Amino acid sequence: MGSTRKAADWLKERAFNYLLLWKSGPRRVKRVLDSRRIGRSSNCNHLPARRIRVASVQMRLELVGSATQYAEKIYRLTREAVERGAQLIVFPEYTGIPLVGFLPGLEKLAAGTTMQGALDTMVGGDVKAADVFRVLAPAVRRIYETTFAELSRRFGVYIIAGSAVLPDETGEVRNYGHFFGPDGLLIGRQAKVHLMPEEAAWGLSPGEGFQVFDTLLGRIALPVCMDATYFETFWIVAQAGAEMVAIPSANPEPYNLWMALRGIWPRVQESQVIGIGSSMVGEFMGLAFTGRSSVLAPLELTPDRTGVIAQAATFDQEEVVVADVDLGALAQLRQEAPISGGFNIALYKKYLPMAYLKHGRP
Amino acid sequence: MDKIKIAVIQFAAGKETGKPFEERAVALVAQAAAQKADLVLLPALTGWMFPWSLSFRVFFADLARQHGIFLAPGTVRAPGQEGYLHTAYLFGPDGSVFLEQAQTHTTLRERRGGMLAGETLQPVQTEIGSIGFVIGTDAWYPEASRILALQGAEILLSPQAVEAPYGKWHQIRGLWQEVQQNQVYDIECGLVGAWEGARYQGRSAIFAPCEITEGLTGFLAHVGPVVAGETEVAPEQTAGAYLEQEILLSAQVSLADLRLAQERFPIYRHFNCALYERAIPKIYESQAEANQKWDPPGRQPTG
Repeated sequence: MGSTRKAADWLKERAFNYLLLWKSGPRRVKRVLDSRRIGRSSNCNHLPARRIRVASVQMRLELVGSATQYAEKIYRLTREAVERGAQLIVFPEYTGIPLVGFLPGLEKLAAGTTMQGALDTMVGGDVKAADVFRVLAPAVRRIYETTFAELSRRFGVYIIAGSAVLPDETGEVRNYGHFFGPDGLLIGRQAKVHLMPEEAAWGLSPGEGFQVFDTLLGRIALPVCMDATYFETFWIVAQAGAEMVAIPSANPEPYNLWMALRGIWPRVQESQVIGIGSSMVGEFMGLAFTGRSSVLAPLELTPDRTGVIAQAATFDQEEVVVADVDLGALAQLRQEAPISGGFNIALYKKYLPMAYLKHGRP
Repeated sequence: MDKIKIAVIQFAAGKETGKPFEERAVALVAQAAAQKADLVLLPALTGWMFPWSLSFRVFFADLARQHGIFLAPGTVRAPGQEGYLHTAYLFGPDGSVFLEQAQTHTTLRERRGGMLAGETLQPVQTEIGSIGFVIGTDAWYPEASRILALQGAEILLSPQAVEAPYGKWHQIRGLWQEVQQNQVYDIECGLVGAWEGARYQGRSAIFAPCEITEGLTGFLAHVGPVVAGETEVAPEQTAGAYLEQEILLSAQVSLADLRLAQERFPIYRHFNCALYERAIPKIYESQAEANQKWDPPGRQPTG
């Protein structure tokens, strides 16, 4: 009996893997996009330039059951941004999560429970969300990467594709931001370095460093959501030359101006960069995601001294925010008033290394 | 001691100096103490207005002892090597000096005026919590609040004197957001009015982590119109009279509430110390040269 059960489990696993691979074939994504007859835009024809048009997508988080459905949704949002002239389009955190809908039965549970709660119901205890992400990774990776790479190439624009939870070559599961160029190639990935407590509980691992990508648009970094809670993140990328910092986010809390103001806005002010915050919205797995996608700059560069160049009108609806950013004016501000000029380096050396290690907080 | 009453004296300069200033300071501190404040804070530059014939330290130490309160009576010019240190004191209920702290970051204008950057930055443990100072320009350098909070500070005291015009979002990008990223209390006390050819405006406030304030605003108390209910990062409409009025502001803070906020959203638990150790020293070293030519228009000098 034991060997029969083992054989059955093996066959089930094989069948599930075949199903995933079959459902996630890149041809499905390409077929949808072919049917849309996408014409390459001229948005990125005259680069480099010091004035850049950026779009921040506010996207509704909802499960999809097919690659076709996913490609359709991302296409629709990308097209709106491209038609409004965007050269760089930033999607929110967890754009890969809708593909968890490939897990049979999850769609029925998604409305009213947490991810861990759903897993406990479906497969019993001991299984962490990271395990599920690891199992689904081959399918998620194929659909996610194909969709954003194809849209970047076909429209001829830069896309920061939000993030997808994927294992690395060692099996550690991380929340990766992805950045595609107008040739459809992956410019780079950025793992989230500072996890939310929930993500740590899911079994995710944090990233180990930040990168700045040098492109024809300018130097761009893409830390993820919680990374913007820490000034250290922006210090590192700004001093490594980042002019624009995109923060794909997914905040599971009721919208409140002041709560929402705690991430990217103060970091932009501290570090003198252009900020592009992109928010996931909607009800998902018992959580209400809210946020207002925005394009931000130091107060000195916004005539009304608010630090906001453009912002979504709502905090719970899908929208695309488009704005022009002036990297020339940013460079001038940084040259005339470099924030780093007042550093007290001796003080930092004296206190910071030990203080980080010895603090007694929970 | 969990619940602590804090009084902030938004002090109007330009009325009197010397002996009359001394008398007014005595009256205002007495008024705050009568409201049963445990800790009273005055803004920056008070030492400049204080009678030269008296010792600032002796005078305010005595005042703290008389009322049995913690008293941070603003800032003075303390002599340093080839310049001065912009220094604040915290006196205890017994009149002893609990903490002496110099401003640790300076603008070019401040340096040209002879101000030196302090070389130490530490909080002090008291019966009302661990207290540190974030003075003047330090408010716009995240390292200052971070260093203090990492060392256990729960209440930051910020004597300020910011030249007009007041900017609401400039204030928010200072201490309000330092409180949010470090989950501490900060008491910002502004000098207002005209003084030595400059005009000062301020909006004194007691900041706390959003989660433990009404309406999640991050303001436990503040002068001027209410901020609860605001939904936009909107431009400042009009400059209110409160920006230049002498006002006594007070509120109660709870260290238990603070710990609750820290536990609910454990920001410090997710530091990536290995990364900071690897990446941040290089940043500071590469920027050392820029120190000599800095005078940011957005960060108003003190003194």
